[in-house]
Amino acid sequence: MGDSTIAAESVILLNNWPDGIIPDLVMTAPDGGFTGSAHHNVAAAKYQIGTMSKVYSNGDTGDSTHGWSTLMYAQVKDTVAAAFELCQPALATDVYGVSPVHTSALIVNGISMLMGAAISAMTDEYYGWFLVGGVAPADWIAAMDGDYPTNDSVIIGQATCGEGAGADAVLEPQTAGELDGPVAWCLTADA
Amino acid sequence: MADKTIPAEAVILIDNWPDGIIPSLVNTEPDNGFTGSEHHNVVAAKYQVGTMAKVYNNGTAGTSVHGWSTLMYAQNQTTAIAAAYELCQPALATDIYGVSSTVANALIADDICMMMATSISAMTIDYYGWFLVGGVCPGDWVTALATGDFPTSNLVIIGQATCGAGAGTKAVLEPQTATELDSPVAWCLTIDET
Repeated sequence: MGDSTIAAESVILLNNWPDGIIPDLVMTAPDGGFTGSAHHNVAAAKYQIGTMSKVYSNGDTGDSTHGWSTLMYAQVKDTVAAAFELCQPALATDVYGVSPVHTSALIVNGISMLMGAAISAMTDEYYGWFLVGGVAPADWIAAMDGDYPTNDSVIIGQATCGEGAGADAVLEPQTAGELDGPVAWCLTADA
Repeated sequence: MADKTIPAEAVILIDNWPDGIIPSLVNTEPDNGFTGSEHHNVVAAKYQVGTMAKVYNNGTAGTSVHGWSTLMYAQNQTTAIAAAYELCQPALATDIYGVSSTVANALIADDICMMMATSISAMTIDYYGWFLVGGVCPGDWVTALATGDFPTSNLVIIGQATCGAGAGTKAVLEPQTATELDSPVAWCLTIDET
């Protein structure tokens, strides 16, 4: 089955990661914004991995919608080509080491419930911010006005992170018999 | 099968909505309380939809119990809400924060919903206000939630409950079953009333 997409404004990510709050990062972007070169896509972490930021978008940018978003600092374990690539834990020793490549995931399709969406291209082994909850915050990150990849079967309701036709992870509808918890809630079917 | 109820003090709501925090709304209610006429059941939103407040309830009022509660600001869509304890689900494909207590208005069919918001008072169609989305019923903070009941399908047992269709037109709590896909929206400490 060929992969498809769903508009970002129709997707609410469900944050299943350990929740934590840095008061300085509530409704405040880090220096230079979330893609600032001092802390995003950098070889040495500038925040503790797992650090979270919560921001509200008014939906003023592009097709984006209003609502809360949660972003998390993590390390990527493969190259990320662009925003909206879906990354899953890739290491048995560190849940915050994530990869968009399906075969690099720590666990097989059908069990994952931890997912972070890339907000830009990233270099292998570098650190930066990933979207892990809520709406795509295009007011804060211009590249988040776009589409999530899907397996061409996504319907309204709960979606999990799974395997599409390509090498990278996609959103797929939750189906009976699968054990993975949902990572998103979709307001429409995919394209 | 006729709908039944479960006492509010026996229900812990599970918050599946996008989490956000307004520091000034942690353990502090908005002006004149959550049902204040300046911001609750109003035609023009006084807060951004999705705004959340988190308050701790000591269980002093009515039959309420102690614990944390999360309330969220949203818009009531399509159908008037008659009273507190109506269970509302997303009703719009374009805005997750537009909710309705009428099952037929829900964006999705029974068995897929995992976003639920409970009314804290009567509300007018298209008006904005506060809904309970997580934790215990905060009777110390919202008088209408001090003593009351959630509607059920007459099948609720101890443990996880989902939001579904009952015998009437309004959504109810029902037990999670193996064939359903929807994630739980509540955890029940007792079975529903017989």
